[in-house]
Order: sequence, then C-alpha cells, then structure tokens
Amino acid sequence: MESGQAIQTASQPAAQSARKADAHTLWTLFKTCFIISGCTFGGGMVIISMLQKKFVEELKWISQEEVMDLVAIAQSCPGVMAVNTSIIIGYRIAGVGGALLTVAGTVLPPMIILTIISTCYVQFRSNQLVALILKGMQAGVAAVMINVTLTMSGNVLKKKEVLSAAMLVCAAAAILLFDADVILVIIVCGCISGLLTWRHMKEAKTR
Amino acid sequence: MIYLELIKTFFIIGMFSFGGGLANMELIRSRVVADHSWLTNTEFTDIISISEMTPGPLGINIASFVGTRTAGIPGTLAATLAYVAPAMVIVLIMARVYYKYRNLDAVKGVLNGLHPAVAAMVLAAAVKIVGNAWWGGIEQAAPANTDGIAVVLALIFLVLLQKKKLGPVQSILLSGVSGAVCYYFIGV
Repeated sequence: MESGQAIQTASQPAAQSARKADAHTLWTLFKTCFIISGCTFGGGMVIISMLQKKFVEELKWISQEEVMDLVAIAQSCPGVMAVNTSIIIGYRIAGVGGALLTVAGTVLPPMIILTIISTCYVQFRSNQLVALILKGMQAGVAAVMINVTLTMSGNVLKKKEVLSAAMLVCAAAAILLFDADVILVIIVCGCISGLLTWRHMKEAKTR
Repeated sequence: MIYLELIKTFFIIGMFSFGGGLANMELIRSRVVADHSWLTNTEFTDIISISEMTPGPLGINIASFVGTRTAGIPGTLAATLAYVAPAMVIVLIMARVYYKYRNLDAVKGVLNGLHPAVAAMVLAAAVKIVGNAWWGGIEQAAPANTDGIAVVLALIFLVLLQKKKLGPVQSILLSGVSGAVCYYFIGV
C-alpha cells in the first residue's frame, strides 16, 4: 500500500513543480540547502537526515516514501551523496533550475570556508602549536582509516562469497603492488559486476 | 593551462567517485598528490583532518582547497564546479529514468558488486596514509625512522574507535591535542 502511494506522488513531479516554482520557493530551496550545508558537521548521512527533516516534516513538499527513493537514487550516482540528494530534491520541486539552486546552496558554504583556510594554510601551518596539533592528527586520521578499512573489508569478507573476496584482494594488490590506475580498477570491477547483475536478472526472469 | 588541468582532473574524480567520503580518498590522492603534486602526502592528510572539523563534504573541501592553492579563487570555482558537474548530469538522468520506469534494480545490483572494489580502494588509501603518519611515507618504512608516538596514538585511537565507539571527529581532535603534548615534551 505504502509503496503504491509513493509511486503515485512520484509520478507527478511536473505538475508539482509547475505549481510551486515561484520566487519564494526558489529562495527557500537555496536558503535551506545553504544553511544546512554550512551548519552540519559530520558529512553524508547527517546532512541527508537534516534535508529530510526540513523538506518532508517542516515544509511537507515531499512525502517520506518518495524521499527514501530519492536518497536511493542519490546514493547510486557518483559524487558526493549530500550534493546528489540536494540536486534531486531541487529537481523534484522546481526542475533543473531548482537543482542548480540547491547545488549552489550546498556547495557554497564549504567552498567559502575552504578557500579561506587554503589562503591562510601556509601561515597557519608554520605556527608551531598548530603544526604539532596537525602532526598529532595525522595519527588520528590513520586510526580512522584503519577502522574504516576493517569495517568495509570485514563486510565484504563476511558474505563468504569467493568472487567478492577475490575482487577485493586483486583490486587492492593491483593498486598497492602494481600501481594500477584507480579508475581502471573501478571500470574493470564495474564491468564484472555489471555482467553478474545482468546474468542474475536473466536467471530471475526465466525462473 | 592550470584551469583546464584542474577542470579535467576534478571532472574525472567526480565521475568516478563511488561510495562516498573516505572511499574516494585513493582516487583523489592518486590524481592530486601522485599525478599532479598539487599537495604533498602530509598536506593531504591535513586536509582530511581539517575537513572533519569544518562543515561540508570531504570531496568538495579537497576540490576547493586544491583549487585555491593552485590558482586562487578562479581555481576554486573551476575545481569545485568541475567536481560536481558529472554528478549533476548523472543524477538528473537517473531521476528521469526513475520517474519513467520506477526501477533501479540494475543500478543497485552493479553498485553492490562494486563494494569489494570500494573496500580495496579504502584499504589502499589507509596503507598510504598510515605509512605517511608512521614513517613519513610507506616507501621509507623501516624500524629506524618509525614515529613511535604516531604508532602508539594511532593504535590507541583505533581501539577507542572499535571498542568505545568514539566518533571519527572526536578521535582526530583528541589525537591532535594528545599528539601535540607528546611531541612537545618527548620531541618530534
């Protein structure tokens, strides 16, 4: 029942956008993304849950069911998930123009902040205290990277699929030992995965 | 021409960034540090630390930082816009496909199949970043030039991340403070 409703609301984006895309809507779109992006620490999922709260619960512009599908699309595309989610929300509410506005709103705050940091970085880094803190942080980042590696590789190996495990080992060896181009590795693994998906779907059809 | 180089590099990074955040570190590192030498390995890790403490996604932060460092504000615009451009086009196409067919199974299948590759890239990035923190580069890994403080700190925070569920931001902040104290009193 629920998914049926989601599909119904999802099928009328054009009608919705025509009704709502006035100046006030566009301003709200930009402002919301700008504030959320500028005030949210901790990346990805945190920003997405803030966007959901604002657009679904407060403004009620998108239904909860539809927003789940939109986030799934954002996750399936390359790029930054928070940016992708804001693109698709903007598009859903006000078409391509809306998408451009939400992307600008999401990208501007970090861009401004990092431009300032980048300009001051050299002086900032030459301060002895800052240099020591940043040196200490290198160890913290190393710990975070080991932790993420353990979690992600663990999740792949837990499935106990020979092919996934082999792909993991071969891809890591290709990058680390043979200095293979990362993009080449993604393309090769993507092709393997595409073939497997295609075979799965064909099997599912004949069954 | 630096702007063209920035646009080309970050467009390609944006197009092949799957899995979000830290998963793309090896892709970005390979282009920004290894190919173009726009940043050193240490600066690259600095940017990850800074990104964790400022709002906004990691990829955008790196694009903006590199753009500004190499070519000022026009460079920032070039790198950041080039980085989000492929996503913009692909997301809009996918949105249209979704509203037409309401079926993402094929895409989801392919992406699930990419998980091992993403895990491998994270592993590769981890090796490079840990190597840089512990020995000043994985190529120079030797007992003689091991940074003992960095090894101990990294292992302590790894345990805290795994067992005490300490967040990554807190881990990096705390290791910055405790690291500064250790390096100050024990020596670099």
